This record gives sequence, structure tokens and C-alpha cells, in this order.
Amino acid sequence: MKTLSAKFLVLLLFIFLFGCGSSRNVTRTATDTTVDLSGRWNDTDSRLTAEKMIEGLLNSAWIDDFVSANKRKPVIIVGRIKNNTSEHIQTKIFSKDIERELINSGEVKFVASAEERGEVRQERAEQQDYASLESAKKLANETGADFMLKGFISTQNDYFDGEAVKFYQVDLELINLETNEKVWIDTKKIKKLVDQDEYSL
Amino acid sequence: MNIAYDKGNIRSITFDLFNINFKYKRILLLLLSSVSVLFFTNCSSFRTSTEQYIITDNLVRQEKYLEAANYLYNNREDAFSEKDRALLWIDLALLYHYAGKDTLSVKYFSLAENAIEELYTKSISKAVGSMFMNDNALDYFGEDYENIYINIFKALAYYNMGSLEDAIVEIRRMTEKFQMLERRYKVAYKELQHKSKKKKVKLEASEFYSSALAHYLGMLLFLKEGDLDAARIEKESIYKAFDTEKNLYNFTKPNFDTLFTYTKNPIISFVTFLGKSPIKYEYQLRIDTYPNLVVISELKNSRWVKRQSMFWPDLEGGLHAKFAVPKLMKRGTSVRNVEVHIDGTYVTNLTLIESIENIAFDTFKREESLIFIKSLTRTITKAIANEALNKEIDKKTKGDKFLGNLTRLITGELINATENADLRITRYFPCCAVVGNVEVTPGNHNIAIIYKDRNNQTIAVDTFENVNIQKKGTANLFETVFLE
Repeated sequence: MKTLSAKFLVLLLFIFLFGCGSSRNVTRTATDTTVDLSGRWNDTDSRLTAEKMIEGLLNSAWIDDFVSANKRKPVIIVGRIKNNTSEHIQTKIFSKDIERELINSGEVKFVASAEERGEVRQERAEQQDYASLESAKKLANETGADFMLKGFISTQNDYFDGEAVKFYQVDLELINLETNEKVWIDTKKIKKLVDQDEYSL
Repeated sequence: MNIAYDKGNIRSITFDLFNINFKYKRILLLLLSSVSVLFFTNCSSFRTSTEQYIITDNLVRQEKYLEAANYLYNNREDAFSEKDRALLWIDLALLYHYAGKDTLSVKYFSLAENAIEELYTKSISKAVGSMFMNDNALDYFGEDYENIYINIFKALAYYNMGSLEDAIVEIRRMTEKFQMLERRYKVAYKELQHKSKKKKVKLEASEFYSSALAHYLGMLLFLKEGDLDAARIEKESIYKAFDTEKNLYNFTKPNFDTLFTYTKNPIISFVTFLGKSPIKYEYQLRIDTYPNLVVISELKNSRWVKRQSMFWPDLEGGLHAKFAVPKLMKRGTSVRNVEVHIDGTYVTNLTLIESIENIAFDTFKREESLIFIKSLTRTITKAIANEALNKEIDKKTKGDKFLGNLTRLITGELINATENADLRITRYFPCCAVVGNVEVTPGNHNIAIIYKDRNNQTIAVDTFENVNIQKKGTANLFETVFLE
């Protein structure tokens, strides 16, 4: 009994002192490695979705129709990718992933987005005053886009007892800027099951 | 007291005063050291510390929110342990929000929200600790209403930062949390029903499944985004909250229909937070046992008064112990009326849309029954273990009366000292929110929010001078805070 009570009291004293330490490790990893921490939308979702959807966009009939009708590559601009989810998704990262895939394909031409244009236009305007005549770029010589790529990301999540089903749907559509005609629509779905333990040591 | 040593070890202790030679020194020393640790340390594992709020409360009273936040931040390592991180981060985030430092506010709200999410996974070692000690040993994972209001204040912070899309994300996030809580409540209620079958404990279910304030903000944000359908759904949800959660919304239902009729003039909206949310206090209880029966008494006017008795199978009589449970206490507001004046002219009164303190009480009452059963069971277990230990010591000391009384006194104090209520709760949420909408002509305006007390005397004024209001302008939601 003496030993038992001593152990009991030592345990009590130990309880006062536990839980006061923490440690943190940092490991460098390749940027294309898939790392899922919380189950939320992450860089891998953005990259893989962009790759898959642009592959579909470039293999669609609209591109051949345009090239045969106009004898040139179509010019695309990326519009707003709206976040309709319950997560703070950096849609700019997704937009950039799309832009990269489109440019690298070589199948289409690409113009700067509305946000980027402002800075470029200011630079061109200043060139008229400060750059040499030979090197100053001409005004009103921009390439107008033929199509705008727009879209939105939505979620439908379900939670119960430490388990969560996270369902993401990315909808993209390509709109003819002159006619408002939608020439291509695609949807990509991602479903994740997140399981959180109820107890840990 | 004389201590005799044998090869460097304590062999025996002799109390000269009582002339007693005590051989069971290890037990006594361990008991004494345990009690000393309990009395002389300020360990947050068994007691809630509120000293850190004395200065911040004073600064908040003077509306020096940034200084209050900085004080809390600078003293975080002394005043908060790792298990209390969610508590610190919510209060810090609120104070930074009131101070207009919304980037910091979002940062700490996000940290708190992530911590609450992580803390769904309960630590077994801490749970064991709480079985021996009390709930202060557990991680603080926030009251349900705190978890919900994080998103309301984050939405406001994002709105102030000019990010409408992120503000709407917070409103959606909150809707998901409500769905999650509704399911959790149902499961927990069933579990509690099962546990309390024999103990006859009063069961309480929460009514909080939707927040009118959250829907009001959602309505304004969707209107601003031009999504009329979503805005209309939010408006209907406000009305539904008033119709279905009558205990929480026991005041006049506001009408926002005019927001959906076309007007060529801009509409400005107001959200004003008043008073302070409830805090917890310790409610002392005592148990006295009889064969198969436990009698629970409560302290009223310095006297123990019988509260209830419970059948408790296989329980022996003659055990006595104290324990404490947390109770909520309203802090309220001294403001009775909030007036909006534009360009020096009275325009309207703001109307109550949410009583955060009502909601805090409602969500806490569900926890209360669980806390009571848990604390009672723990106290009875400790009292049984204590009695067994003392009986064993009685045998070893051959019924030494002095020693028996001494160990009973020490172990009894040990139980009393470890049975503290978990009083952790955030301090800087407001007690209620009032809102209103006013149509103005486009152009520059001086806006005053006037706070009046029960005697209709002005006690404070917030002003926004020379604000340019346009039909599609950015400044059409004004948030003010008066926590007094």
C-alpha cells in the first residue's frame, strides 16, 4: 500500500509537469510533392486541376474550328476564377497554373490579365517620353483577346464525428468575347475523406 | 522536529512537540510535498488564472484596445500555457479587431480556429490528468458560441480589409459549423441521456442552430456583391432564426424587406457591438455519502444547503468532500439605446439582432450537465480512494489517532485543492449586437452613433466625419464597438 500510494502521488506530481514541451522540425521537399495536412484545397489540387482542365481545353474541337476559320492561333485571356467555397483559396495561384499550362502548350496565344495590363500600359506610356524613338513601343498596338476563360470553385462539405468529406468542383468556361458564345465548358471534381482521431497520447 | 539519518537517507522523523516517532515518513513526505505543490504553485493545470486580465480589462474600459492586445501578447508566455492557446488567440484577435488592426486580427482568429479544429483530437494523457485533477488540465477548445463568432468577426475583419470574397467565405464557413454542431449536439444529447439514466440529472439541449447576426452580415455582403438570390436567402434565414429559436431571440423581429426594394440612393448599414460577454465563476458544492446515496449541498449565504440526493449503487457512507463547477455570469451593457445621427440630425435607432450572452448561456447549459456529472463522479472516486488510503495507514500505524487525523486532513485538503472549476472563457466578445440601415443621398456625410443609458443620457459617441457615400461605394457598412 505504501508503494502504491507513493506511485499515486508521484503520478499526481508528474501530471503538474506534463505537457510543457513542444518541438518543431522543418524538412525541405520538392514543390511537386503531394502533401495533405488538413484536407483543405492546396497547391497540389490547384496544379493537378489546372493541368487536367487545360489538357481538355486544348483537345477540344473549338480550337481547330477557330484556327481553320481565322488562320491563326486563338488569343485567350484569363478572367476571374471566383471562390464559392468555405475556404480561403488563393485563386490567383490557380489562375497562374492555368496561364502556365496554356502558354507552355504553344497552341494558343495569351494576353495579360486586366490587373497586369495597367502596369504594362503605364510603362508603355512612360516610354513615349523617356525611351529612344527606336526602342519605344507603339501605343494602341495591343493584341485583343478572342476568348475569356472564366470559372469558379465550389465546395460541398460534410462533417461528422471526426470525419469530413470535402468535395470540390471546379467549373471553367471559355467565352467568345465578340459573340458571348460559350465554346467550351468543363468540370473537374475532387473528393477527399479527412479522418481525425478522437484521441491521441 | 528531529530527523534521523541512516547512510544519508531519512530513517525516522521525530516530532518533539508531540513526542511522536513516525516511521511512515515517505507517505507523509509525499503527501506534504503534494499539498505544498498545490498551494504554492500557480499551475494552470489545476486552477484557472485570471490575474492577467486585470490590466487588460482596465485598458479595454478606456477603449485602449491596441494597448490591451499588446499587453496580452507581451505577457502571453507567463499568463497562458500551450493548452490555453485558443483562449489567448481569440481574445487577442478580438482586441486587434476593435483596434482596427484587422490583419493581425485575422491571423489570430485563424490560429484559434485551427487550434479548435486540431483539439477535436483529445489528448489521453491530459484526460487522465483531468481525472485526477480537474478540467483545467485539458486543452481549451472553446465554447461552441466562441467557435461560431470567430467567423463573424473574421468576416468583418476581411470586409474592413476590402476583401469581400474572403468575408463571404467566413459566412459559408459558419454555416458549415452550424451543421456540424447540430449533429454533434444530437449525438452528445443521446450519450448524456444514457449516462444520466440512473443519476436523474436534468438534461438541457441547445437551441442555437443559426445566428441572425451572421445571416444579417451574409445578407449585406451578398447584396454588395450583387447576388440578390443569396442575399434574399440570408434575409429569410434571419426571420427563421427569430421564429424557431424563440428563447434566444426573445425580442422584436427586425424587418429588412426595404433593402430589397430599388432606390437610387445609397444605403448605409450599421453593426454595433455592446457590452461584454459572460464570464464563468466557481460554484461550490459538497458531497456527503450514505450507503448507496450521495447528498449534494450547495453554499448559500455561507451555509451548506441540501440541493439534491442521488442513488449511487455500492457507495459506502461517511465520505465528505467539496467540489466546484463553473457557472456563467452575465456582464451585460449599460447602453439601452443606440441612435444614428447623420449631418447632425437624428435618423434612426439601431435594433437588437443578437444577444450573444443569451447564446452563450444556451450553448453552455448543454455542457453544464456533462461537467456536473463528470465532477461529481471524480470527487466521489477521489473520496473513496482517499478513505481506502487512510484506512490502510490506520492499519499500519495501529490506529494512531494523531497520525490518522493528520493524513486525513492532508489528503482531504489535497482533494479540495485539486477540485477547482474550469473557469476559462474568452473575455472580450461583446454581449449583444444592434444593427440598422439608413438611406442617404450620395455625397459627403457626417455620421454619429450615440450611445444612451437607461435614463436616456448620452454616455458615448462615435463619429465618422466627411465620409463619401456613393451608390456603389465601398464605405457602406459601419462597425462600432462600445464594450462598457
